[in-house]
Amino acid sequence: MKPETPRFAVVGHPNKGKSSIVSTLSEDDSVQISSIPGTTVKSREFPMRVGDELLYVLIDTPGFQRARRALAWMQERETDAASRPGIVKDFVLNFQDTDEFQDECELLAPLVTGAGILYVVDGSAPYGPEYEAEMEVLRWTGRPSMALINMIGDGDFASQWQDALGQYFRIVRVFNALHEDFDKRLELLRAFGQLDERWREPLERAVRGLNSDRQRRRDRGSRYIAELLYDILTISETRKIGPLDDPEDFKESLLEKFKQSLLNREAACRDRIESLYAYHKLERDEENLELFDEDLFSEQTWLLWGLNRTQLIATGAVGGAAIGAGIDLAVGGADLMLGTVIGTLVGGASAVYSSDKLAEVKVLGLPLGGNELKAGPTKNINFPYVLLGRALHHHAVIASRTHAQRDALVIERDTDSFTLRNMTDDLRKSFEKQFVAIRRNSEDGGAESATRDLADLVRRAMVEAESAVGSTN
Amino acid sequence: MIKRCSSPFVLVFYASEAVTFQKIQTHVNTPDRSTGTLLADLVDLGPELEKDDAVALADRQRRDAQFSQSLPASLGPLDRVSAWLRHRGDDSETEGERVARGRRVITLLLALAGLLTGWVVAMALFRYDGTHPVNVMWVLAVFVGLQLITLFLFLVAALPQAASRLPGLSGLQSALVGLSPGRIGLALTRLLPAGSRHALNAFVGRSAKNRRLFGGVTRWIVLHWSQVFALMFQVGAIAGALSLVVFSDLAFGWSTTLDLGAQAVHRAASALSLPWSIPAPHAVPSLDLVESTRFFRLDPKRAGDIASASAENLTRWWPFILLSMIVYGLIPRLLTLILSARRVRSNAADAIRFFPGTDELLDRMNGNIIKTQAVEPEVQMPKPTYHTLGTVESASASAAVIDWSESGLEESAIDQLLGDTLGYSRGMLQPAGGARSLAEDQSVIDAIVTVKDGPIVVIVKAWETPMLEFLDFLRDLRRAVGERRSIVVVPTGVDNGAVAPARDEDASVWAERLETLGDPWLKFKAVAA
Ligand SMILES: Nc1nc2c(ncn2[C@@H]2O[C@H](COP(=O)(O)OP(=O)(O)OP(=O)(O)O)[C@@H](O)[C@H]2O)c(=O)[nH]1
Ligand SMILES: [Mg+2]
Repeated sequence: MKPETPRFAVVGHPNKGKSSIVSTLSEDDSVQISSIPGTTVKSREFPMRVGDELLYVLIDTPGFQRARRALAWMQERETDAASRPGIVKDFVLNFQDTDEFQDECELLAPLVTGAGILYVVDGSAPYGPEYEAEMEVLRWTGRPSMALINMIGDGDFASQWQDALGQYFRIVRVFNALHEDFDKRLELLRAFGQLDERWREPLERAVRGLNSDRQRRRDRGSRYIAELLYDILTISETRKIGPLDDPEDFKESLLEKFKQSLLNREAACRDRIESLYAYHKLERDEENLELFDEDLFSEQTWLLWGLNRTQLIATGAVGGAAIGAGIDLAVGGADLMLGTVIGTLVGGASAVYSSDKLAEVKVLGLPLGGNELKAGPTKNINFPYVLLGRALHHHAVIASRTHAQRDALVIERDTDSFTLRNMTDDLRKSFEKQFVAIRRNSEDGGAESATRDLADLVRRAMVEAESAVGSTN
Repeated sequence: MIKRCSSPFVLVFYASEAVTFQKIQTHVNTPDRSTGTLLADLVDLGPELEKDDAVALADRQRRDAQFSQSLPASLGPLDRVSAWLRHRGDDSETEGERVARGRRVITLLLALAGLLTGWVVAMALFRYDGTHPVNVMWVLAVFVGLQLITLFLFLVAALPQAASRLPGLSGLQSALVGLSPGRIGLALTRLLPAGSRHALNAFVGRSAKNRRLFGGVTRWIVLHWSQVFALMFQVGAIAGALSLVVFSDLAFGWSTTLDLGAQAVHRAASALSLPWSIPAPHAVPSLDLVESTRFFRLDPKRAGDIASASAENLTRWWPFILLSMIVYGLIPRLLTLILSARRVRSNAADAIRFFPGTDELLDRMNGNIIKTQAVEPEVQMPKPTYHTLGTVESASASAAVIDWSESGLEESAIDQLLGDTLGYSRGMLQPAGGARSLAEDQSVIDAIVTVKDGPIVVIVKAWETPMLEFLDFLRDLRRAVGERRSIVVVPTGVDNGAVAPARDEDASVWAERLETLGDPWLKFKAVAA
């Protein structure tokens, strides 16, 4: 059989989530979605391409408005069942440029030129006889079809719908336009491929492409978070002041500026991750976000997002042990154990007590008179973990969101669902080693390879978090 | 003009920069791109990407994919970025090119300074006034010993992995980078024209703000400068020494207060000469030579003896000295110069490759990405005109009722709805819409017309969408019953055949739709909670 680009028209009653399904499947947040029926007025194509290759086309359409009238027109012309698809075509040709059947023509046009049917209903509201005419019209087109039960509200009439839809459509599936996860979306695409033998191959390829794209996004997301971590461990703010200026007058504002640049860096990472997942019009709950940002330096946040006390002590011990190992080396390994023990004690203690201290402002004399104030880089043990926890949470929220969700992005400020508490000791130790190396500016092979190593760890943390979430579900 | 300058010493460091290596320790392949282009690209990339933010994503995608097609497919990522940057700019000098030029000029100045210093120092150390011979000890200390010490310091500063094992070393390293003669380079920026000076200073300033991207480049630029200086110092010294050897007569001897016997000195000299002992045996001082050329400052007679001793005997030292300077001063420096030039390049390449936005740029240029979004923008719906609906008068009346599209309300429930919501009692009850044919709907209208007065109530399911089909029906109904007759549309919820309140958002959808009809006797009342 000759390959052909599969095309699918998403059709149905107005306001049943057609555009939402299209938006979710095409990851396009430019699609207009609203609770007012008749939002979509023209068909719009969403081509799925891998490189230059077109694998399938999704078509958003306006809803039926005069299905009974259209069906009546067609029935008048019916001679036998075989004539039906031709009559639908005639209908489109006949009414294309008139006002009366504008919506019907828009939605039927792709069908008469070979598109498959994805019929969408709202399974949270009861079935009614007014759907029969439009389903009959769709049957007349003779196109392969599938019905999707979308659950918009709280009611559940899915089984009632199953029975009614079963009489018109061979395949009936439940699909939640707003909240369906990635795997379910791929499963749906695969099911589209079942509608016509010739469509299977391109849709399989599309699914493979999307799957590897998800890996790419996770890898890049990890990379972006790793860059964030590297940066917040190394950036500082400096300011030159005159020989007569009192450094104390400037310390606070410099520290503020330093904090602000940390926040900016975090926000930039959020932006990058959002556009990585094709969110361009994402509305943010600014107030919530502001609070979220403010929280970055609060002790509560640190308790929440960062490591817990025990982890901190252990982590400080890791960092300290590295210092201790250094002492060992310095004294020629004579009392190898002793060095490590001292390091562990020192590191462990400071880990707990330094959580309220982000960074110091140092005063450095300048050779030509005056001083330079320097805020940062932060020496705080917990801080990178706080950012890591928040970044992983944000990534998870974005990755599991759909493009049909149009409510403002809310990043929860207090959540138990996503923290580093469950991080394995092994992974945490690897992080700490890397953090220590970056802080000492002594990464093996320079910034780039340190960032890469860090990205691998972030990727592992993502996997750990995902499996943790998965097991609680 | 600097670029075209071709004096031999300039060639030395350009050669070092031009040598291309397989990737050793570099993560991004750095093909034969000059350091200057890489630096220029790195500096220009940020502002260009920022400028680009104003362009809509779809346009950027189209534009960059199109541009990419004009490039050879074999082009690596860095070259693609570079081509993209150059394609965007006009011919005027960019900030990045100014940085690159500034660095070049300073490299050149440092090379000159090194050459000059080396020459002057050589002139001082090889000074021979005919009384005391040139002390070989001194010459070796400066041109071999000092070079070896600074070489060691360079290696300490250059090897980051060593630092994580030794406490306090990273501090020492930064101190070393701070102390290296390359720092003079930063001071020399003062001599640059304003454009290059500002550009270069701004570039160096960025490394504090973003150590990940700029730290490595800046550090290696400074270390590279110090290698340039050190190498040219040695070149100057060798040239100075050679010129003295050729154009004047020198006498060499050795002298030390330490209790070193001639044998120890001979052993040391032989050890130093090991690398060339086979190809150039004449350049290895013999024990005889060592013994006969020792002198004591406090013993001018003996010094005078040496000076007047056979010229041949004395000048036999110089091949040894010259080779020492080359083997222990010049060659290692050449290697570290090449190493540092390469590190500048690989760090700049990494920084470009991982600059925020490079990934996305390459994605746009590289066609092999997945796109699922619409290509055309969405058509906007023109806002319809809305007309206010009439208000329901609460007079008790008998109403003709139409149950649209099988609301599922029982008759008693309909009675209750009429009473509670509108204060009406029920007259005729007619089902319409739903699966019925249009002809059946028409007969409902015909039946309603037979009732001459009283309001007409149309009950609709609030959760369903008001469709044009329903509005058609209302229009037909209006035409049939004439003006002034109240038609009241009542959206209701239904719960197991009983009346339930309509949700507010549903009610307003219905109201809004009805307002588009422009029928002043059309009324609306949703079932409230
Ligand atoms: N909670 C929830 N709401 C949904 C879901 N799908 C759609 N909606 C909402 O239902 C409303 C209509 O969605 P649209 O996608 O615009 O529906 P449509 O079928 O394209 O509508 P028209 O273009 O007007 O025909 C919007 O307010 C959506 O947010 C869903 O799965 N869950
Ligand atoms: Mg729509």
